[in-house]
Amino acid sequence: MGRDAITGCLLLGLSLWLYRQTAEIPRPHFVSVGPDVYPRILLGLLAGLSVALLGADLLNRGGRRGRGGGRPEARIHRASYRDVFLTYLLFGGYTALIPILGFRAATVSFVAVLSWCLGPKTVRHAVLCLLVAFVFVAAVHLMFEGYLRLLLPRGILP
Amino acid sequence: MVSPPGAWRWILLPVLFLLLVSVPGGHVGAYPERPIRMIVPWAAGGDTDAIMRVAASLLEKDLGVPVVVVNIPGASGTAGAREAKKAPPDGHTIFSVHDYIHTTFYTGVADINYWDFVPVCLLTSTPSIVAVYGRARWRTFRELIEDAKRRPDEIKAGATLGSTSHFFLVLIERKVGSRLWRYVSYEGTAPRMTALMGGHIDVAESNLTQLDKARAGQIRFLALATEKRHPSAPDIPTLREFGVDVVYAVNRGLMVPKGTPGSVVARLEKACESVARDPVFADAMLKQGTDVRFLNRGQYTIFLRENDALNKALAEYVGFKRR
Amino acid sequence: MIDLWLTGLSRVLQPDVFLSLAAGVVAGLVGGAIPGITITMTVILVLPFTFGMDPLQGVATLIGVYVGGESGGLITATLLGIPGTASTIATTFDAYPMARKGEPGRAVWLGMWAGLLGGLLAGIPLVIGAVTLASLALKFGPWEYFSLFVLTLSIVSSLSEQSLLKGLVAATLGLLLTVVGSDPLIGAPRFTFGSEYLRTGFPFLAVLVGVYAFAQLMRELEKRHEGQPRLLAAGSASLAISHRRIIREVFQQWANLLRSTLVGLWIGVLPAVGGSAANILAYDQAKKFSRHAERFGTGIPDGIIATESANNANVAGSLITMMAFGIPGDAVSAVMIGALIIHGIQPGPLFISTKPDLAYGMFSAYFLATVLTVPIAAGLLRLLLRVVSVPLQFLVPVILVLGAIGAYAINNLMANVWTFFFFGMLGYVMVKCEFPIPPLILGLILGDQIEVNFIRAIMTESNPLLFLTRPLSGLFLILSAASFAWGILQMRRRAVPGGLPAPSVRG
Repeated sequence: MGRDAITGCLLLGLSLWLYRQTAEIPRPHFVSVGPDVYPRILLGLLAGLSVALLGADLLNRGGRRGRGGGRPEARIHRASYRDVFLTYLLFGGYTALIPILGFRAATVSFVAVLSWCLGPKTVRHAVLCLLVAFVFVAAVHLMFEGYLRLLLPRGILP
Repeated sequence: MVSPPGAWRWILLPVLFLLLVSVPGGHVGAYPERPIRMIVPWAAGGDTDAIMRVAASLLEKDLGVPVVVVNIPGASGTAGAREAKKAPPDGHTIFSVHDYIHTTFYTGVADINYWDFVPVCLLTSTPSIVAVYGRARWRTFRELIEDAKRRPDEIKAGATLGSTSHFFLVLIERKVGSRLWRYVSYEGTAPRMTALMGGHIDVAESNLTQLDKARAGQIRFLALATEKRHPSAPDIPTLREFGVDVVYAVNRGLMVPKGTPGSVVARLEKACESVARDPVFADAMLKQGTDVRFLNRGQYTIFLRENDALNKALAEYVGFKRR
Repeated sequence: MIDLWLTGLSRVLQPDVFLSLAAGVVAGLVGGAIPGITITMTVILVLPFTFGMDPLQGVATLIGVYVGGESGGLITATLLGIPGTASTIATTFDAYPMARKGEPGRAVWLGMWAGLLGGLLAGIPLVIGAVTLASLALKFGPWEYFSLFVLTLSIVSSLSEQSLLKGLVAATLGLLLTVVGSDPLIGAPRFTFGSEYLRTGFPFLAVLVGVYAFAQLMRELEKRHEGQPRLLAAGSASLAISHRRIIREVFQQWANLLRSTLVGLWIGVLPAVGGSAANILAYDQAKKFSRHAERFGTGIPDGIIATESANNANVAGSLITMMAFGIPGDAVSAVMIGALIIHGIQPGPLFISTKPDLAYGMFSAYFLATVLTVPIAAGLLRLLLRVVSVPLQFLVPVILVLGAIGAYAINNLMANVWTFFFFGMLGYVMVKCEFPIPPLILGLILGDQIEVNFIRAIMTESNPLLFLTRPLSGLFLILSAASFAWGILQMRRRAVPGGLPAPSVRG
């Protein structure tokens, strides 16, 4: 099974599961079209499209393999995936930290750490990372809080 | 340039962290000590936003700290209510609210009601108007009602279902004692007025902010839900003149999270009163078809209780069930 | 009439108004160019500054932001391939490939000049036909809106490079995402699984920026280790361009320019449709009328000219509805109406006749902002190019933080930052599975409106056949069917061996 076929199966499962969930949506008697109608139409459509995706992939499997050769991603360096993974990980951590540390502290840490991890591991670069982080956060803070009056999240720490 | 060993990273991080934690400093002082967030649970540009931005700028003058309007729209205004409820009860977050706080509770949309907050003051009241399509055949409110009684479920009424624009029309049905309208969902004043001008709906709740459209003949104001005729539009009769005893308005006030100290509430109440008495505010509200109506926290609490009972009854009448 | 113009113009040219307007254009350009900060958000952020100004000065500033913002969005879409605002999704289709091929200057300036011309052209009906056009727009009932949105979605799905089927799946997923949260009818929770966080749904701006910013930056990170030229390696050298040649290029496509301007104008006039649809529809008509449709998406001028002239015309369109009837054409004009109301002016049908000074001042401000954008953008472009050539290890965290701020500022909730992050992952997965992203975004933007208008139509008249029998609505639905047929035909033709198009986030 190709990637599309797997996606098709997953989406089919998702639409069936969500279709069952639509029974939970309340339906008041005074409206002619309840809030459950539209999701059901969409889920029906998605189920149909998933089956088509699955079918198309199974039918085309032979032809595609012959034509495609190596997928472009196969060539991508493993180090690249490490960077991608790291970025997601750090951003997730950053999002979790904002409500605790507040915007300023969390952002300085995030920018400094991520740029350090993505760049060359030299002292010069480390200093540069810290500098960029502080200057950037100071600029953003001045701009949004000081000037534009957009209050950025505070932490629970002082 | 020397490449540092991996351990470098582990020295760098804690140092960095310490640096940061020591940057901001908090201290205790007299209220208010820092900018106040005013949560508006609707998008920028709407009626509530326009009224509250004026109020915020005047509150700022009285309190001496910035009062920043923070729009938190979403989920029929309940997203903002939820954030306001969660905020620390120190008076640095105030919540601007209107009757939706009752309607969303009794229609089962939210599980937050006015009793989750401490009332500060009522500021304004925007009377509701029965408006029809500009080229509709009904010239008066009586003609409309008689036609509607004759063929209920045919005259199309646009409304945000389960909110003030819906309940106003339901209240009329209840007083007249007959089903009148076929409701069509149009959320928000702007889409409702657009549909009314295009004739896609026949009737809708409106207010004096839309006076210009009525003067231009694109919509027609049939009756105003006030006790007496309104000074800005003395030519519009009241519902009472047609024997329909409905007085209805959208009432906007301020609240703070539960647990806010009494002294802080009192300070805010005082600021609120000075806003209500400010001629600048009165002038701005007049241009927005809104009446300044100040109630202090005691009066506002009683008002909220009565308003809540009315909305509960209306929600049950329509057939909403609390979940 | 002439004297009204002269008063309006002279008022706008006075130093106080002129400077505020220019500042507005700068703010719009910068805000539009920062991924994550959209035009709507910039207008809301600038709004408090206008309180202290007189009404014309205040509105002129906001008009400056609005007009400048469209060009700011163009810059990001071209240089980074991230649509800074929803109305530049289709701009990325050709502008970004052209920039990658080493002609960023040509790509940006084609858009800039096309935008200027489209904006000026669309200004004419703004001044002479506002009321007529806006009255036509009022005739659109729920049926017409529903069918127009369906048409937009079918077009964006069939524009997909690889597979119509995958485009449709993405569009349906986008529509399904709008179902999550409170329903638009009575606020009942749908697919929220008891979570308060899901109750507010997924704001499309957080999703848009999340999907594109992450997907685009991650692909840059991937390529970094392959020794591929990074984004804009060619650098500012290729920014040196001949304006005369570019203007000639734009004029050579006068028919495309004219059609796109009309599309943008009309979509702008329709309340609550928005620039994203104008952008997509303009791109599509350019492609369908073109004799070399197969070259669209590889970085040709046609696509840039179509999308950018439509964007600027769209601004004029929404000003028409706003000034003629006081109806907000989109979120930006809603804020502008709010600004006028705060100054005690309620724009309505009598606005132009009772406040001619202000109205003609606003017309003049629109034209002035359109013209001023070009020199101001020229100045800023140099600066912005330098920003883009910042090393990737700094660019990635900085853009992600700006995206997070933008997501947060939508309604000041941390939940949106999580949405931004979550869809950042989904976007990357979609790119890896070769699903096109634009249909997902459009589905998300239009989803609410599609449902609401579908329900309104049924609530108004229970006969579903009206969708087909009302002439305009029927026409739109036939056109959507035709769009699919055309998409399938194109695919058959392309199935003959041929190179895959240049990789881009479109997938």
